[in-house]
Amino acid sequence: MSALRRSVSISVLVGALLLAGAATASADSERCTSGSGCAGRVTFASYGEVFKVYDQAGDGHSAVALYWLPDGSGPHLVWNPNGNGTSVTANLEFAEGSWVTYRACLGEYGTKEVLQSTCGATITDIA
Amino acid sequence: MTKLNRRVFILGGLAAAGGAVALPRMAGAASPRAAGDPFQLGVASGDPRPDGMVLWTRLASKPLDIGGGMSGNLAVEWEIATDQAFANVVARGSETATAGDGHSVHAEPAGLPAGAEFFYRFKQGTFISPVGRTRTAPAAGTDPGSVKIAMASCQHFEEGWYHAHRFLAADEPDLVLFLGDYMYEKQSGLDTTVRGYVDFDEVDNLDEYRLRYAQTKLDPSLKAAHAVAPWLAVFDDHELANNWWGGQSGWPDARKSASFKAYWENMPLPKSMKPTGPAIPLYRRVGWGTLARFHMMDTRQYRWKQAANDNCTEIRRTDRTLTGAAQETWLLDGLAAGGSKWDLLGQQVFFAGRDGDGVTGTCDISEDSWDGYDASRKRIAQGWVDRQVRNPVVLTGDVHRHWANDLRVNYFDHAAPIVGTEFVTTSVTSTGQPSGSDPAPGYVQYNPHLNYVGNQRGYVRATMTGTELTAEYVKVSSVIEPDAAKVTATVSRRFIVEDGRPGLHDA
Repeated sequence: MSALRRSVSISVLVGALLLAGAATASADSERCTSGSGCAGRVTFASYGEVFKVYDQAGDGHSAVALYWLPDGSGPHLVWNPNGNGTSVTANLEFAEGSWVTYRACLGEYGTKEVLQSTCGATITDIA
Repeated sequence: MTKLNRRVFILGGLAAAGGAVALPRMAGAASPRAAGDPFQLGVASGDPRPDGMVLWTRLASKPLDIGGGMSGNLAVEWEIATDQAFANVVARGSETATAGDGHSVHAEPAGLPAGAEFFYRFKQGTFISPVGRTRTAPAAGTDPGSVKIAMASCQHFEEGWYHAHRFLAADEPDLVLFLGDYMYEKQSGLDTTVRGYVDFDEVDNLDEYRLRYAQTKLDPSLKAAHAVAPWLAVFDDHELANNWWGGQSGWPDARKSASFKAYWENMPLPKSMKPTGPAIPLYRRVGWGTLARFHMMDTRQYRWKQAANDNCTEIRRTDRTLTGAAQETWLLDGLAAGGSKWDLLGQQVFFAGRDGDGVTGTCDISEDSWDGYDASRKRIAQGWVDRQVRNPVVLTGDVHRHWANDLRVNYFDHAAPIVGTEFVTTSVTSTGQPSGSDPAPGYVQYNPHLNYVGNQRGYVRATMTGTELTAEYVKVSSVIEPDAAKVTATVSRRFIVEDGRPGLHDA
């Protein structure tokens, strides 16, 4: 997908989301934000349906995962507001065998604004 | 409030169950199988004929990936039965879903009995599709007694939940007319969106159009509406780009080709309508015995460029056209042929006059509507008068409000006879949740033929018999409430058109 034109506020729609301090599942897939530096990185582990959101740059923005589900809902958001060098783990519950499409972005945690131009390519993984 | 009845629930339940349904009569195929359930975009049927219809699905195991997670050519079996348990299968067949056609399937069973209800499903590898309900049209020359239709349009995915489709499905209409703006090429500009596109860009190539349709089709209520009845679908502008017009409209042929191809791939349209370039043969006619004919029109591909809304010199040109000459002839010849009690013109843009100040010489109008093509409209309205069409009814979408209108040949002569009726359905979601207080536009005072306007989200349902047409304007209580159980549907207005007496009457 080509470059994005604008940023908009996206409502937080996350349900059944548990945040933990450390990841225990291995990454089955991952995506970076746009650009060469991978300022934000998101991994997804199918076992346990675990997202991990890494902030990898001191750029003043937060890393955030956007994901969409088979019922047409999304983007649901998983924020990492903790700054460069940190990660946030979200242990979710998806139906076994269902899919999730996600991408990594940067945004402003305070206003919940996702900077669409920072979003990297999407990927679909199986829960 | 309309309650979801048992049959629709069953259809929806099967949709959710997917491959878990036992189907002893569909033998396992030897062809390659999809990596995951490929029926996530649901099933649909359309363009019913007296002996068949189009059965549609599009394979996508990963619907939000470019390519839908599919590759190669895949055999897809289909079967159609007279019962929901598929104990009495009346036809079976197989189609090949190819990457070139977005892995869409357009099966066309033939030889079925007329005027009958059927159930259908698909199989790919070991995966079984949800079950859809469809029907054949009544035979030519026969009177089915009545027909129940629903009309819907304008469903920006981001601007609301498709609750209207859930209620529409619960009505179990015989036929659904979708009158354009099925999907939108751009993100919403509203601050109240309930969901967002996975691809933020304005779509402008085939992969992106396919992806946008796929995301739209994930909505469970839309799947239910497609599964409950055959559709007659026509596009408006947003399936390509806002307010595009025909001929040399400035949109490149490559984008038109992509838009039209994706539209065909994602709608239950016959193979004969598959576009091969920057054009699609969209206008067509479907008969419903002696009771009704649906003249499905194309008000985009052949229209002249919109004139500025105060450019009376251009707007009043007698050679302006919204339909193009060939479609106009097709329509008028079809109307002249007669043979049906109700003639319904399914189309996109506002037909009745909506002049902003009631002054003939100012051309204070919406230039994209028929007001911007006054001579074209007069040729058609006068055309049906001259051909003594018994009950001309125009069915419209586009404007995101319910409207009910009497039709005249000259809208500035308020004493002129009423020559027809127009029902305009509001949006399913587009422009989002309406405010609690939203008065009718001021120009209504200059246009007494505009009988009703409702700023709501919803749809219109109508029943035609030999004596009358009854139309109900349905509004949903919310498009921003995600919980369907908390959303209700109510009838905001009801009108009757009596046989042989054009115009609206309160019911």
